[in-house]
Amino acid sequence: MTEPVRRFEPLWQLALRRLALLPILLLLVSVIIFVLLHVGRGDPAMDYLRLSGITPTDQALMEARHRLGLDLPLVQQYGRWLWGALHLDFGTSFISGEPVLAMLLDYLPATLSLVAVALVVTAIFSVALGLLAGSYPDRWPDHLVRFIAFLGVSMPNFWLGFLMVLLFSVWLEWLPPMGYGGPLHFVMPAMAISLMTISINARMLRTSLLEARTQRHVHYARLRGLSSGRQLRAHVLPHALLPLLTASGMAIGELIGGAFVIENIFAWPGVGRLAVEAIHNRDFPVLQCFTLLMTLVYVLANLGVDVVHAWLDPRIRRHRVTPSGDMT
Amino acid sequence: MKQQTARWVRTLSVMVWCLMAGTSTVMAAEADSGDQAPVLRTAWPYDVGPLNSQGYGANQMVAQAMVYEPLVRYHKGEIEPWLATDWALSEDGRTYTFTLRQNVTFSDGTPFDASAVKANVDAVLGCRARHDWLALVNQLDHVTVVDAHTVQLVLKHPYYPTLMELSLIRPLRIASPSVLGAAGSGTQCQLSAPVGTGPWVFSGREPGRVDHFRRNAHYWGTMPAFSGVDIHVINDPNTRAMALETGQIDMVQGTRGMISVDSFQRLSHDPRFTASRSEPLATRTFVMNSKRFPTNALPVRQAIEYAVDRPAIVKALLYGAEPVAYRLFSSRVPYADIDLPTRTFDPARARALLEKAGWTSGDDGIRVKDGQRLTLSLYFDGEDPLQKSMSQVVQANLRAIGIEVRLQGEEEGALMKRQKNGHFNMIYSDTWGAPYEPHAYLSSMRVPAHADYQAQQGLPMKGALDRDIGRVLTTQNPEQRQSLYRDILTTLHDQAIYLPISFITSRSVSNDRVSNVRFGDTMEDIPFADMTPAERAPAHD
Repeated sequence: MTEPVRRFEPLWQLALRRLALLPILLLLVSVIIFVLLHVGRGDPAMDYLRLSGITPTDQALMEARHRLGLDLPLVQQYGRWLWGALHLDFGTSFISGEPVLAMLLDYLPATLSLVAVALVVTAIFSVALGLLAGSYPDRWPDHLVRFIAFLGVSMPNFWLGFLMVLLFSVWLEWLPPMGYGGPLHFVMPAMAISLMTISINARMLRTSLLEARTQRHVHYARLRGLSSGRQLRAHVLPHALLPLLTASGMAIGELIGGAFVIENIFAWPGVGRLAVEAIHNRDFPVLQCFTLLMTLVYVLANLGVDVVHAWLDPRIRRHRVTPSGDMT
Repeated sequence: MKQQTARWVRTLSVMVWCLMAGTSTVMAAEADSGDQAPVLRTAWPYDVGPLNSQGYGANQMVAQAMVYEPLVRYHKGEIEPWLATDWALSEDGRTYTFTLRQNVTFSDGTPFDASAVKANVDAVLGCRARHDWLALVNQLDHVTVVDAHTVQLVLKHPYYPTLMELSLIRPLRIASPSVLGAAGSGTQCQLSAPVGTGPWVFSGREPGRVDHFRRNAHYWGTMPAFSGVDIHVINDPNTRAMALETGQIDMVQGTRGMISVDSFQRLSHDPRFTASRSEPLATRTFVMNSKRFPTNALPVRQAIEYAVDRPAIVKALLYGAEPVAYRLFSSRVPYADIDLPTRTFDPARARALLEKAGWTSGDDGIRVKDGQRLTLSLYFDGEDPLQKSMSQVVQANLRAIGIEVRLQGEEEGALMKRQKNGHFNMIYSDTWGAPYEPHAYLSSMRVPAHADYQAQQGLPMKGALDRDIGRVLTTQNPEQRQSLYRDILTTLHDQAIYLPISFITSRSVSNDRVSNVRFGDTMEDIPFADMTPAERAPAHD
């Protein structure tokens, strides 16, 4: 029996394999969200009439249901939606009557830019705080980081948001309390949504730093007389940062989730606020399109993280290849 | 290393540039108008919507009222001339002849005349199914152009609230005929652009952030003192208060949650702000179901009225900011200024009423009659903290006289469904406010979709009540109308169908850039055009 050959899967192949699964995933998500929305309690026609200040008589309800296309059988409704979606027509909002894709694309940049800034903030502060704690275990910097992390994981982000507004906008008058515009507008919302992730990541980096220091290659590096800075940069950090990178993939989801609440507090014109409104008003077309868009963003972001991970750590794309060339 | 630093600098500068690009767009939008007068900055929870004069859903009435004007205006309980300077009613009560104001143009330059009025009314009638919630739309038969400045509205039957309903913010205000969809084109219920005769012109939107309005240079009436109004989209009430405190906006006005009771109380003690309250605009009330046990018994309903300490609720939960209500409509409402007995807080009397009706105290303090406990259900909007607190006080008050109340908070849609199907003993419900009161509100009592209809189902005189409501809407004799209203309102009061708590007022908080802050005559409009910049306020750049 021939010994299997070890070969690395090229990065593009990894990315392509994952992208090929995307349409199936989106289809599945669309079915699930459609079913969940329609089997839930409540009637979007009733919400439409409520928002319009119209009495929900049987006739008014029937008229509204007919206009919103809710009087068709469920399968037909889904079929109609899917056919439209395949042509990039995701329907019109029950409430505003505007095309939902255009609406979401109007609001998406604000959310994405907030999440991107929050991700950068998370990366910088996680590493800084993690390094501080990991470099001085059980001494005061470590205790300080632990205290910050304790606060960060215990405090709801909207509460932190309000406290920051009170301090930085009302009392100190340093930062704008709300709205979307210049760089200063990003400071508080980005901090509010990233503090929890920073707290978790800093603690994780501290643990993996301490763990990496006990590895044999680090021990040998020390014996070889490398400076402690060099040890850290060349041998400890590359090892310790990998779990953090994996966590960042998850963090994107957390940050987007955090943005939902924070966008309301900071009057941020993002999709989160739009979605919260749509949930409240049972605006099904908006929710359906929003879920798909978020799935897409989440999957692509995670794919990005995985590709970077695979690039940094080739071990994870190592496949054993049989003599016939088939991968297992 | 140098190369790496250079790369970082490049990346950072791209990021900063991207962020600055966003800022400059806003500044460009603000500097665009070229008008030197200051802009009034306010906030609203949503985008103002498509601004269709006949649209619902996302169309915010506050903004529709800024752009479109009615033929006649509702002001302090009276109907006043507006785009129509005069009107006459035919003998048979079916034909209204309006003389239209001359020299009025829409903001796009189209002249306002009889054909514009006809085009708008025809557009509403062309989409009748959408508007049939409004009785007038069902009563309208056709509209005739008599001459360029005279138009006739012909009804199927006499309908005295015609003028009241013409004054509503939608759907019968007048948009430029140039933007109305052509009949039969599939777009007949839509507008191609928001163009009206009102004091404000919609001038641009930054989705989710701010809607811009500038004053209408061709306005026929008094020109607004502010050069424009920026309506910032701020969804959260606490954020609205913060925006006010930090000078991001100049004023907030509205009913219900526009500015929370707590924020209003706090800011009214802050010397930087002026806080004011409007006259009563509508009524906060619980509706009691006369068809379901145990509220089907009149003594139980009356006992509830005596047992609830309304002044305490208003003092504790509303900081005394609203007048206590002991009647369904405030005496300021047309035809509602009648003598009605006041059922003030009197738990002893409440207990006596229940004892007399055979309800005796059980082992746990809850009253029992014929083996049945005196337990009732009370429903409210679970997302409204004020409704929740009020319901809890009612629960405690009723517990004190031996009535057990099961509280259930529900979301608004579910609550509406419950009002429609009548599955409640007590349910929270605001009245509609001017100009719907009393006629449209009473009219709705005949429609099964309302809590009022369901709650009155157990009344022995429900048939006669509905007949009287039908008659009051068609009678042309003012004395007979007043007499019918007196009968209807007295019956409802005697039968204790409602447990009114307070009269809703609109609240306004503004900073020192704004003076002459006024309230609208209805809950839905804010008269920005009447407000003026304070003299010492610097121009908003």
